[in-house]
Amino acid sequence: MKNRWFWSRLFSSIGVLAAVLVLNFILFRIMPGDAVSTIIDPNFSPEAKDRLRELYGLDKPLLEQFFIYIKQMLTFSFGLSFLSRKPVWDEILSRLPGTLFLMATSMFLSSALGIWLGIKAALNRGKLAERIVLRAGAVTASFPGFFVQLVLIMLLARTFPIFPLRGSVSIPQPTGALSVTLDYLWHMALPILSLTLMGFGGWALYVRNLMVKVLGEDFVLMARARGLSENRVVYGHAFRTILPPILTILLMSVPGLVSGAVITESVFSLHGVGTFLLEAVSGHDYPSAGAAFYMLALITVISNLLADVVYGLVDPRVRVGGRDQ
Amino acid sequence: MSQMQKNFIRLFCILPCFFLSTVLHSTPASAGEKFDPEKVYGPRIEKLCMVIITNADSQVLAAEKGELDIVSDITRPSDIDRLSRDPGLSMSLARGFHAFFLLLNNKSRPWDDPEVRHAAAEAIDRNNMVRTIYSGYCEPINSWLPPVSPWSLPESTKNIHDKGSARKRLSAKGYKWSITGGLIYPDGTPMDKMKLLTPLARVAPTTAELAEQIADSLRSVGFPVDVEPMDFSAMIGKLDRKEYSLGVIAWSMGKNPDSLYSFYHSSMDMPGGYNMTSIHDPDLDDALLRLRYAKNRADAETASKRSQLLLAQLMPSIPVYSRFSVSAVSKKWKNVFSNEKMTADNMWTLIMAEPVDGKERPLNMLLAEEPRNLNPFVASSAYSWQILGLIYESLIGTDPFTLEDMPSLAESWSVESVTNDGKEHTRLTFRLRKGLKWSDGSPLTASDVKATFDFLKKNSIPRFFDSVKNIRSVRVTNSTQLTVDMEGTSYWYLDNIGGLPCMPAKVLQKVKDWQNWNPIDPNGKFGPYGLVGAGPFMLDEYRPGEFVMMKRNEHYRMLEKKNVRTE
Repeated sequence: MKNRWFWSRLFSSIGVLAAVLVLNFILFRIMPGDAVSTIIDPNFSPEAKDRLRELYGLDKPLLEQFFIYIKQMLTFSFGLSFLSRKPVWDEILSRLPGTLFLMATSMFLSSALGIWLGIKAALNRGKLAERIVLRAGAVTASFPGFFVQLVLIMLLARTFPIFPLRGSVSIPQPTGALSVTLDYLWHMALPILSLTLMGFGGWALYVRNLMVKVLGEDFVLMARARGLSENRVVYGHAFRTILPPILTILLMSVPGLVSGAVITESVFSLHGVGTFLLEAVSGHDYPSAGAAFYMLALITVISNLLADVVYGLVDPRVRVGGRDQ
Repeated sequence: MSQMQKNFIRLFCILPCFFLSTVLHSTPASAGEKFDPEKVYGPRIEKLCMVIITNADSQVLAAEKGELDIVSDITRPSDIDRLSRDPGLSMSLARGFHAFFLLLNNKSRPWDDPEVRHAAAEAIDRNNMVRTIYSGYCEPINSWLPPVSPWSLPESTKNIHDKGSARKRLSAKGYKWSITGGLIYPDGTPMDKMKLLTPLARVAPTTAELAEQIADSLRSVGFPVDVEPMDFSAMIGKLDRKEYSLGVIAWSMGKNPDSLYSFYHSSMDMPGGYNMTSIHDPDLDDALLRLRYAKNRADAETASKRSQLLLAQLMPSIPVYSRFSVSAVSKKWKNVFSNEKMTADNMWTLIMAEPVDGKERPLNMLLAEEPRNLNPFVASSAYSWQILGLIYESLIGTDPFTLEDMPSLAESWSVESVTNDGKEHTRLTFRLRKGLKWSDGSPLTASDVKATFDFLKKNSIPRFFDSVKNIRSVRVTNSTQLTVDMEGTSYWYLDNIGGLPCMPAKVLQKVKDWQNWNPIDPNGKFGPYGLVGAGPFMLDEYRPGEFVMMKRNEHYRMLEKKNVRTE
């Protein structure tokens, strides 16, 4: 039975991927214009434009373009970017480490801080601590990202020049592995801080609400009646109960690690996947945009599958339910 | 409105421009100082660092913080004002090649009548737009070439705003106004609502605002115009298919007038062509054809003048403004050059600049976008060419004071019309300077230049396609002289060919696949590693997203003049 469940999930995931592949192709083609039509340069004649279209393969019939595209996606050979004329795969790979570090670190910090504050707020209902967490959470989650980031830059990079304004390395770059690492961390501190500040509020509010509900359950009363320590009651029983939805949200955020923070990368002039995606879509760079969205869809589908599996691991009721079926 | 009131308003509009021009020009270290380009030596700096900062706010902050020595192309009036107040920075302002037009679909009613187009042109209050939207950092124009072009007519900035005259023109053509003020065609039918296409405000906020003001101006004389913001690509598609009535667009134009052919000749009214107004006029076609295929300078001047006068008569599109280029330079540098035609971020500054304190350090210059590709055959962005333009030199350069042609790799040249096989064609003869060297120290000869032209032509490389497609043959006379025969005759062949970047023959021979060649990949299989040119700088290091470090080309032709000067 379990096998059947797994295979059905797998096939539906493949179906989703196939749909994404087709939509990826169609949506970009029905968008008005292409990478060549937006060139407005009197020194670039219609004849030269045709030559460029030929080089990009845009002169071929749509069906032929579709088969070439499908072959490229299935073989993970995404072709050359229209904009940079470099292999798309190399472009993505060169930007991925920076984006992953930025997003994974800030996601870890914001979720850890948010979960901790959410629990504290739930344990201090009606007190000042809860009010502070609720207000701070609401404020940080509602401010526009670019505004918070620009204020932080003004404050911590210009008025009090503690952090650098831009990029991920100093000019000239320091020598030595340790110096290079410290320099990188120094550059990434402000973007990570800004994302953490903007992200923890949502987590704090969500976890606080879950915990408030769970702390009122009979099994928590029972645990306390058994004389268990408060930490054991809170983290060993109550928190464990709310882990499945938290893990689901965490896993569902994984595609965001790759797609990156477009605004953050743009504000801090970081070389990341987010800005790559933005440039690809706005520049009608079909190979780059197609590859990036395909990768995102792939990661989303895998994360979904993982979320299902992990849900079962942390919540025995799900496994029992699965067996009953 | 009385004439006195009008004059007062004009004065009110023009004064800020004069003020800006005076203030922004008075500050640079050596702004506008006359020098002999042939006697300049440099680069005097060892390293030039192009710092990649894509966010406009961060660019300003970096300049204020002293992390940038040169900030180019500052467009937001608030940024210009802010940097102008910084005591550590000098600002420079120059007329630019950017021009903004209101396109009219000459095939559709009512724009199929030149008198109506003139009425619309007179209704638009350009001075007010320049003042309210751009705080005076651009100039109103009435010309189809930017005023900075040496080919532009003297009356290119004449103010033609006159609503009374616009109404008179319309009245004379039989137009009437309804009770609500809307125009009624001479045949009695009310004018239908027209859409003015503009890019979305979130993408191009100033253009969207400008479109609103143009619509207001047109409505004030009865044209029922509403603004329709849309995605830029969608807008271009509609303009290309002529599915529009009015649209706003900015064009970056060259110094030469032959681009007018692309924009207004009837043969360019085709899919992908630039005659988006669909103007078809036999006289204009004739003038533009003569301009494009002028045999010599005198013919070109006559045809250019005639074409511009005809455009002023026909008014196929309405010129609105030309934006000034504004740049900021740190006062820690001396020998910074700028004038009314070039802001301080020009090549002459990069060649002559020296630190005021005499301590050698890299000059940090802003690069506002990622260059993405440094393969000269496929690099298409202005930011890639901001770097490649310092690595490669062409046969002919641009005089910093007149913008006319001046010697670069070629010390002299001649243009003549010759007849072969009963057909007349242009022959260009270039004589190279003696003792030229590539950045790797090897000699630069006429054979290298021939190899470049042959390579570009053989591969039909899109970026250079229009420049080389008419090359008939290239002959090397001796190591410093070559002759290029072109198909047909055109005075502009000189700039087309003379402006091509020259590359060493030995490098071109090793390029196996020009499309995939990555010159900064040491393990690249499609061509050699490194970029060898004859420009003032060489590529030292490129860190994507961070910076492009350039180092001085120790074999640069102007560097050798230092020894001459010392002697």
